[in-house]
Amino acid sequence: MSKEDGKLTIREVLFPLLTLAAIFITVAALWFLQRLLVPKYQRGVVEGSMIEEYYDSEEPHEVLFLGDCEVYENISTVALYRDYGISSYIRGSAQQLTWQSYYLLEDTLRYETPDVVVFSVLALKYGEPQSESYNRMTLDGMEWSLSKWNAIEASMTEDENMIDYIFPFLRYHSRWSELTATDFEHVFDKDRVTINGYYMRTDVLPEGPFPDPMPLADYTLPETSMEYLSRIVDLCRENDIELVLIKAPTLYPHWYDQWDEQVRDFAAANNVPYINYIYLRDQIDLDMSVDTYDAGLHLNLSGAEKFADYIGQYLVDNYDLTDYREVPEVAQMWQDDILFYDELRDAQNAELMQYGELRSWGANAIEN
Amino acid sequence: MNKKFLSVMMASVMALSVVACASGDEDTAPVVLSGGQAAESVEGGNAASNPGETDEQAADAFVFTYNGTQIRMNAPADDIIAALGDGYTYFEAPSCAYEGMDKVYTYNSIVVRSYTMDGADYIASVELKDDTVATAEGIRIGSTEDDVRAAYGEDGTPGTSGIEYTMGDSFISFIFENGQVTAITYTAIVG
Repeated sequence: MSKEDGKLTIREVLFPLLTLAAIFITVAALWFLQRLLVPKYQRGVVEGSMIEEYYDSEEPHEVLFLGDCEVYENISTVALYRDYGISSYIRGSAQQLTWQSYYLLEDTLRYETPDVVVFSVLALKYGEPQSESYNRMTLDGMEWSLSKWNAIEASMTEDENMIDYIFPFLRYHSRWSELTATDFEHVFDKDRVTINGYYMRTDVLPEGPFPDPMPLADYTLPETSMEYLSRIVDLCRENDIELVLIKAPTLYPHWYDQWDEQVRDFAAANNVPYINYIYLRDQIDLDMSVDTYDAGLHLNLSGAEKFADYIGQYLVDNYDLTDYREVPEVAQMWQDDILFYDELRDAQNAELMQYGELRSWGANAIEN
Repeated sequence: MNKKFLSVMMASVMALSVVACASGDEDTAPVVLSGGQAAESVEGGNAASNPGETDEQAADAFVFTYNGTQIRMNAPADDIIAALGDGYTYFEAPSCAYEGMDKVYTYNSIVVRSYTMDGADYIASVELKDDTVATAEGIRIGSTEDDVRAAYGEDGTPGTSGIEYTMGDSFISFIFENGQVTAITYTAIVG
């Protein structure tokens, strides 16, 4: 073939094809390396997997919880369903900051509109970005949207860059020497670590005494976090969502009376309920000699079921929620969640029987 | 054509290499990547060779002296805690997702708290519990608000319960009640 003939030469045909192939191979290699190198959060520290799990949940969620470990470790979503038929999801993550909660609510509204949003107030004490590690655990799992972009912008610490979030490979390429078997096992898919956002622990470590709280010269809750709380109120109103503010019944980190008063004032001014469950530990029937797995910092399964039972009663008493146990299609989806929940409970209890401690979950499972 | 194709391939490989080495070996992954769990104890590290003495950064942070041991905010904690001796009660609480460990050492007259960063512990705060100890400027629990202003100046930041003075990566807080100091805390500014 020749140019004179008006036909393409082999070279002219092959070059663009090979160029395309080279580009494809390069992009595929980068994609694979990124998948391999990013943290998987599958053993020990699983909190980085929580946010992305939401996108796989198929049930409708009439109640949405937002916040840090005070929600994702303390409230059993399965107990809410079993006891009341409440279909809920906890979009929780480690040290979730108030602006991250706001943008996670925005993100959730892209998929569904819950009837009730329950916001945990502990993070109101933070007015500035705190830690890259925590940021990553919350933000990397969000699907890309303007909400994610804005959440990153609001959350980045001084040393962080947007480009590292857009291309996580740039951030994590140095992990090649730290890769574990889990990284290879979960290159393409990850195991479920929560039940609709609830992180289960069945072990027991009784609550002990806490040190006296450190006195502060200024108890004013930061302007930034309070502003984002106002934005959560507004976003809920715009979408006809009822908002409930809660403080979990755990005592550490300390929740100062002065903070409590400011949240009460805010709640009253904005006509939203605020419930501090620290004052309701007896009514919840919490026995912190058996209902916590880490000396009172968080509830274990028995504590989380008690708290869910109590907060669930409040929710059905005050809001017009569907009993999804009576909706076969949704009930079937929940049966899968319950099955996983029961299996996870049994597996943890089996380890406790065998070793006297959990080895496949929590600190003992962290891979170095 | 072969040369052109090779060029494209080499450019691709080079791009990979450049990206992979962009930050060099000094780049560190988030703490979680190396395990997340706080170290029980870390030897030496950046601690001053003589933990009781301030180093060149001391002028950039408040220093409190207790039983001859100088405690600087954000200083490596292990040697300071060792120098303070065994007369304390201890409390620790892991942070969410094992990202660190809050440690609280309660002595007769002070409470020392530490935080974890990159596997090592650093001084987070010192709280003065009674009037047997005083700041370097002579302020103790029971001093008056006027004493504080005379010693530390008028340029502090007033809060709802007291006043704060910042020095470098630390601040000192005086909490008042009826014009008297009821609590004093030194706090590290972490970041």
